[in-house]
Amino acid sequence: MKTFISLLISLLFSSFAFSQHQLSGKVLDENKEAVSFATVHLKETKKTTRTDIDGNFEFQQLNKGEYTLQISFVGYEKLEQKVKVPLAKPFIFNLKSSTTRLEQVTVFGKSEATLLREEAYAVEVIETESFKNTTVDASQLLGRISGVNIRQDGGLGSNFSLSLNGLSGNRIRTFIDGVPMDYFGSSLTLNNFPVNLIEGIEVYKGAVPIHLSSDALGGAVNILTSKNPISYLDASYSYGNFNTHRASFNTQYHHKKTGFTASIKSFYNHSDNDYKMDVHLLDFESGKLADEPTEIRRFHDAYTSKMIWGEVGFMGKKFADELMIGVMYSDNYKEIQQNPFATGVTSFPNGEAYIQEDKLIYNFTYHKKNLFWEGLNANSYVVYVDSERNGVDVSPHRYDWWGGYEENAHVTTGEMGRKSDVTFYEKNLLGNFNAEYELSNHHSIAVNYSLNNLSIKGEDKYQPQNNTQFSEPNDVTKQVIGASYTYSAFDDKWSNIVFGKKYYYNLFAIQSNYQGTESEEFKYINDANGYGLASTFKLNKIQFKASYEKAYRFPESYELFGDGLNVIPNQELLPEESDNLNLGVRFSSAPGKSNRVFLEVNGFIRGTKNYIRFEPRMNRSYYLNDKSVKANGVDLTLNYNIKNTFNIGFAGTYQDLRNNDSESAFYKDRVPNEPYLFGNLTLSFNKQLRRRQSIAVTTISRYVHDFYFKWPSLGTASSKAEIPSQLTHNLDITYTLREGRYNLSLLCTNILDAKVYDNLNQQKPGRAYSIKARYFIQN
Amino acid sequence: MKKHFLQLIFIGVSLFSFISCDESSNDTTTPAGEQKFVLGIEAEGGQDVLLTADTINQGEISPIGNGLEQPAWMSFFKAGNMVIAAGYTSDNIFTGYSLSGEGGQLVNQGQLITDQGVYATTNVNDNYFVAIGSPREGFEERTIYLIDKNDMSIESRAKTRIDERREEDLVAFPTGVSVVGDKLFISYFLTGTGATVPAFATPKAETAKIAVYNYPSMEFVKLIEDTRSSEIGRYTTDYSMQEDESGTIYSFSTSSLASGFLPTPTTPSGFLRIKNGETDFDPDYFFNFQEKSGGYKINTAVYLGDGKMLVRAVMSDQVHWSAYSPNIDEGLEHLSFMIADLNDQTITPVANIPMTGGGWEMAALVKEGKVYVNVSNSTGANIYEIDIATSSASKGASIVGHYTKAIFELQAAAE
Repeated sequence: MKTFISLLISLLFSSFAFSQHQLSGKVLDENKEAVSFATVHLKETKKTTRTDIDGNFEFQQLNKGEYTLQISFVGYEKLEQKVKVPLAKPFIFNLKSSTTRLEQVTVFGKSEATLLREEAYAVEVIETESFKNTTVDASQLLGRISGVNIRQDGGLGSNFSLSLNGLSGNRIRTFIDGVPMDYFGSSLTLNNFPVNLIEGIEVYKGAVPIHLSSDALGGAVNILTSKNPISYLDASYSYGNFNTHRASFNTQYHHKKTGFTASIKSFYNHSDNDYKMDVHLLDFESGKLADEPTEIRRFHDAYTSKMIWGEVGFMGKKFADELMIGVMYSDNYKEIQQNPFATGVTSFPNGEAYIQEDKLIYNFTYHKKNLFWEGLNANSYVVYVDSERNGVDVSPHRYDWWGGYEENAHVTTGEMGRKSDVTFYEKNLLGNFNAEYELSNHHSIAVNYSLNNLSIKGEDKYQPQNNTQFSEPNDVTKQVIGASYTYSAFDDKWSNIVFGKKYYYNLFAIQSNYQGTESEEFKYINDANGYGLASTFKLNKIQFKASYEKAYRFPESYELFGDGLNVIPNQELLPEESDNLNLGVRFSSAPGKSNRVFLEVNGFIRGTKNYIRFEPRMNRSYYLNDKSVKANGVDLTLNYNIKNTFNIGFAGTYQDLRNNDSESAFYKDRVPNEPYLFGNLTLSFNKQLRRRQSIAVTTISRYVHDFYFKWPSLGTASSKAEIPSQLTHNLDITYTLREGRYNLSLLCTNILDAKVYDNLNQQKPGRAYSIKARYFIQN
Repeated sequence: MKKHFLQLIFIGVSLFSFISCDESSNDTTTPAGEQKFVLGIEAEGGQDVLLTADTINQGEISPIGNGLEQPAWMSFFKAGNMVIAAGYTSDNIFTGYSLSGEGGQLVNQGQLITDQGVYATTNVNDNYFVAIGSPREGFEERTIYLIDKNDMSIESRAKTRIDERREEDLVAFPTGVSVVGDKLFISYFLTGTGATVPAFATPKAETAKIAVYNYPSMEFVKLIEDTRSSEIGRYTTDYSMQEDESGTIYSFSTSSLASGFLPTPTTPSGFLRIKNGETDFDPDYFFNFQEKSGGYKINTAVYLGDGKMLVRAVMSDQVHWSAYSPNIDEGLEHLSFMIADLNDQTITPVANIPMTGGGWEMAALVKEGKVYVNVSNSTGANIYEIDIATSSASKGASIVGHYTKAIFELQAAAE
């Protein structure tokens, strides 16, 4: 390791030679404001420097002669200018702003992100550069996008779900570099994925490109990890309340000449999650709950996850832009304080139940632009996942909320129900093969094939039902073949994509009765055709987008097979089928203005048949199909930026998901347990300080309007279980030194210590602080 | 076959939930309040609602915008002039409701939490209610909860193993409880712990079994057994043992695969009794229902008064647990209503009532010479009014939802 660091350092501080003259200058923007930290490259000498806080730069020890200066900075057009050394006086360079400087999550620059966004798909891109130093995780970042709502049950590692434009759970597929994230298991989720690893996040609202062609139903989130052919080292550590530690260490070595690249990505997360809660304590003898609540600490909710992922291969070579093979090991341990699908706080908390998961993942990735012919791009990956998941609920002791217990109080049952010590062995093979060909500047075609095969087997030391059910491998295979055609016209102002998908689904499962004495095989084979089109039109500062897709989603393994503890199988779940229509308009004020406005409105209509919904019922929770659900909604994003210093962002969503089955007694009812009005307000202040230091202060306020836990029209309103409205405020202060090499960040969540509840009325953490330090170096 | 299998699984699933037992109470204080019907309804999606109704013999009863949403899958018991809703939310919660106020609203009278799931209950008197808690499988003590209805609290717990046969891997699962005088009776079936005999298999079901305790000390007295009929009651019924006007306890035995006994008991389905003041089965009394009805079996029986029982009879005893599907596919219903005379030992089928799917509990309200019951299948549910004297039925209110879990009548407390 030492040699590697010294190598990096030597690469950074490249050699110098003796010269006599100097070249100095100042970089300003159109408003005559200094441009700090712009990259200034002196072509002939291959020297690079950066402007300081006042826009000044300097090269020393130059020979007399003519030089080419290249000045660049994100958000500005690159400037190339010839200068003669020696100069009579310091030169002033004026940079012009590039277009589309500001988007949803306050990041600047026309980068890859913008290019992506300008595809016909309704995609939002979060560039995470500016968040890398903060303690936020990927899910919190996503939560700032309009239309996105993140629901998390408790502390670090607890259940969370993401909804996007009225679709939640698995309808919104999450990918890491195009690989569906669920297959990385619970050790690796949006909830704990360190933001350092992330280069950007694409959020597709509506039609999803075929290369993410698994069966997402109207939305996808793709996390892009750093793929740059560079060498870097990135280490961070954060510590916070509830004994929360998060460490991440990522490094990559890239040898320019040979293209040889080796990288390690790793993290460690731990939290005791022992936050305080208000509990009406039970008097065991009388069976009565106390009238007044008592503040207690959770005592069995710890979470630990570890991951290490090593990859070797080649980047930036003729035969491959990226050719990598890798092995990942991840491990995840979670204590279960109480049944996660119980309504309210239990009187008999768990003191011993837990879930543990190990995964060994092998991956192969290949990307090549201009393979064989100019314009032919190939992208593919193959991932093999070997995982073992163990859920244990066997303790005979009865705990109370002080952490004490009565020994052997229930010898025949576990803490949540029937004793269970279930182990699932899952083997999962995923592959995706994609080719794009640019026929001409305005036409391109793409084809895609994806395969997903899962085989799950298991055993339970106590429960015969689990034993019988998983005695033989249960097997699900999904395949999707897709093709698309892209056409752009009017100087790329109008672009269109049409695509078709063919889905194949093949399920083999075993169903067992409660006693495990009888079983029956269940087979289901199905196929379906999906199709869609997306179109975008740019008119000066305004962009219009529209997409329509006929999409399918086949049930996921945990929807079919449950978790062995609290979610029971429903192998007969039908695939969801939906018609999705999205319309959007976006306005951004002219580039170059010092105060900029960004505005976006998206509307969507979705009709879904056989909507898969989770029905929380303690340790008999399951997934079911609702015959027909219709969703209409609108989301709004507003952003106002003042001189790159102050930024105000607002994102709000109203989504109306209703039962559309006219036969149902709940016809026209809102889908239960689903937020329908929510939004967030982000205020941020960034200031460049002297000596390459900067400080950023961000506050985020989130609001979720109250909603019913069950179908709204069931019973009288006053008798209904309701998830109360919640308003929380977070504050984040980040201090950066040496252009981001050293960072220190402080985060306070739930500043006002509001009592907030999750979707089952279990209390979430109050005010909490965390501090994060990060070191980053690259060449 | 596939459908059946699925139902089997879902029944297995639902077995997990626990249940009820209620003796039609005879301790009615008569305040001058308003009377109302109180119904427990499983609405669409398996969501329970407790609601009131002014009439049940016509019109429509709907939980849409009406009644109290229940937090979980509930059981409903009558406890004098109170209804207790019991279910597993985050704990086993008992909530008492009574009628109050001018409009006769259901008002929460208090809650209590038991550590064990409750599978049998009985109302003792104005003050007390008894519930039997039991783990679902394995060798572990059961609990007799004495519940003080006045403040809905546990007055005392008594631990009992009822009947444990470790060498045979069998354990007692309670099906009913009854208190007569200074004795408490628990009927039960013997089932496997899952170690060598599967849970809910009943290899010893061919005899009737009751455990006798002193009340209120809850001291164990003895086990009694009778070889003339099978194990008493069934999983989750309200009516395993019922007292007649003279204090004699009548018990029913199903001998029925459809009612949850596996293997099917060889002894006939019928009624046994324990005379008032006795602690043994009456050796001179056995009503062989199976023989007298021409081969049918009792699924549930509800005492109507005057020595008469309403029997929900199993007409086809082919599939294990098949009498636990309230919304069984249309055409596959196989439970039918009959009126049995305990004294004459005669059986009269009820006319003008369709066959029905079964259920865990059986909703039945006896009122003024009529008995009101739930009839349901996959197409929906109705209340039927049966005239006891003529043994003929007429269609009552239709139910918006899956089925009626309970029908009671409460009287509003005088203001």
